[in-house]
Amino acid sequence: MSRLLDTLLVTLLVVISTLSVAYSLSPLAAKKWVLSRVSHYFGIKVMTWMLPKNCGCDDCPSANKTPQLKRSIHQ
Amino acid sequence: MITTAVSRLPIVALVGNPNCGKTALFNLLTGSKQKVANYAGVTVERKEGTFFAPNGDRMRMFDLPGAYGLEAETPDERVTIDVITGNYALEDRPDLIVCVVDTTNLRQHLRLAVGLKRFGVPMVLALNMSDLAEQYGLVIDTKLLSQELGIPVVKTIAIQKSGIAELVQVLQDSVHTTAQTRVERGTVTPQQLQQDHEQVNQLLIRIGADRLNPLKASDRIDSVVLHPVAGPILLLLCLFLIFQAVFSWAKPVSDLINFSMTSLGAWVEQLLPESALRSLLVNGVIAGAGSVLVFLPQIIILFFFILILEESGYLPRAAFLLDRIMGGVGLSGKAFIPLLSSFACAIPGIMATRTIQDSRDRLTTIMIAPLMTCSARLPVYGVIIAAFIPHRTFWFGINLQGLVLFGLYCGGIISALIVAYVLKLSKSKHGIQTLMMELPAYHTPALRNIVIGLWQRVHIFLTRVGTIILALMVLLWFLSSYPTAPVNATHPAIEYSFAGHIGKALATLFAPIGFNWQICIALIPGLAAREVAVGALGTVYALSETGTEAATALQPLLAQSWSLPTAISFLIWYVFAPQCLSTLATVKRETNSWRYPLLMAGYMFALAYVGAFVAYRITGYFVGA
Repeated sequence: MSRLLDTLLVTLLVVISTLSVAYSLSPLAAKKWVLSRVSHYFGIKVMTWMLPKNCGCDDCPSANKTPQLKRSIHQ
Repeated sequence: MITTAVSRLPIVALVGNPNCGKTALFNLLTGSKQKVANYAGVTVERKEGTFFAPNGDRMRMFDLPGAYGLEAETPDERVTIDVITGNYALEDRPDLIVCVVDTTNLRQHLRLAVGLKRFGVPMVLALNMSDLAEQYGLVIDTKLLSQELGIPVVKTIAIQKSGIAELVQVLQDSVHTTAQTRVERGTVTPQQLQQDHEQVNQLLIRIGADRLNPLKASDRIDSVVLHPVAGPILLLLCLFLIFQAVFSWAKPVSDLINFSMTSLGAWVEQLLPESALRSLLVNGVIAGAGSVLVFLPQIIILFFFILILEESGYLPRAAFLLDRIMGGVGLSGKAFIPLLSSFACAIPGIMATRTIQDSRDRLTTIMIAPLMTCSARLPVYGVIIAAFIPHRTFWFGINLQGLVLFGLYCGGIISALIVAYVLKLSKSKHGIQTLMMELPAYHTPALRNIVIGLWQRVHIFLTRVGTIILALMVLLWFLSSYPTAPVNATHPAIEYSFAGHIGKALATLFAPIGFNWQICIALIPGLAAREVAVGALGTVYALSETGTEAATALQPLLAQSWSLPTAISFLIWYVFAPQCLSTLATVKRETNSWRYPLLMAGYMFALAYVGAFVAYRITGYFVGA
């Protein structure tokens, strides 16, 4: 039982990590598409913090997450 | 398509010449933490925040890039003019402009205010840095100036939060004033500019502000700092001391973090039975992400000094001192600030090139920005230096490790100048680029700005360690652990894994520069972010070890496994290699072409390979390897 739990936990961590790496490295358009699909199929309201920054870098000066940036990204 | 409903709120725009304190005011009014510094060109994009008036009314506040005039000569100035004329995509015209002026330089700054009045948008004038002006013997009668200009005038000292309550009240009262006529972009004529100039001169005479006492303190400091001989020596000494401090001061805290990570690894090993989960936690998470975390103190110390230099007003002086060298290799003097920003990360540096007017100069600066040593390289340099360079001091207590780090930073700068010179040769000749840059008055660094700046760097670093680096380490652990080794395996299990096979395949290509298959594995996740290479080495070497000491510190493992030529080759590789996909994506966006990011990746990989090869062979010759 503990061996099964161990395998399940490790598999889950590896899958989550793979998805997050793929998301992090994907271009802005792909991130927007993923968010729109998640929003559509799961009925999750997209919050400001979920939105990708303009270039994907934490140092980016345009990392100014506001409703207006949100609007400009998605129009 | 995601849609969001945004109700129409009044828009207030902060406008002014560069380095007059717009962003400091913006941060105070909106509670934001945007970067501020004592030099021109920090803000190159429109920033936005929400501002609440005393009566509870909500307003949108824009912090716009600094502009000297209304002619929009650079991409960042164009953003400002487009916003205030209502030509910025997806944005309405502002309902109120707050024109921020540096009170110590009214002759220049009021010209913009007078020009802005023609746009017909209700306006408030914020006389910022009024305390400095009073030190220079200039006391402005705000009522008289308000009558002369026909707009409300408020004195402020943004860095001391002075005058903010009055400004907030004026904003509340003025925001609903009806806009007058609308002036479209491009209607400012040379005759109007001349009229503005004369109007400002007359205005200054009427309010008794046409003469300033000389800036004695700043001038005295500048007589040393800008001296043709003492100035460059002082600059070099300043940079040298910073890198000495990075290694000397950080060591005790780095050692403590290192010890904590090792203890944590040992504790988890004792706590859990031997299993895949234990291996993932010990060899993947703790050995991988932990080995990057060790470099937090060095990053804090480096940015502490950079922030002090930024805040004090020294950096524009450094640009002035280096202008001759930069001009000699064909770089515009305005390239200094973007290149300096690249020491934190190449991405804001590349974006800061928007302040450069000439498109060819801008392109050259973009192409060399990644050669400046970004903070992500610091963990890579740090781990190799600590493992291979003795912690020894010589003449006057100079630390050898700090000296090597200083040399690597200089290596990046010199190679950038050489590349710029080569690019200059390929360009057709055009006029001499003169440096036009304001030298701001020296300020005592504001503790609040230093603390905010440091916190932002710590937050960025820890976020990266906790997100992308951690995820990559888990993924790398999986690739390095599966498939498992056969029953009668004679080598460590990692050699039979996916990562082992990939590393060995790449090792053929990298053997001439001394890289083994473990290094080749680390290069791949290092493409996402350079510092990930250190974490990857931590995981790969932890899994390559046998026995319970697998989660021990990375440095002794590297010292045992690598030769000195390999270590030097690895350092030189990281001086040049463009291993950051975000940087290449930003270059594509800023140049609107794939040609330049591909060219950048190509030339930097070639430089890295050739540089590492030469370093490997020369070091090998001397140490007899």
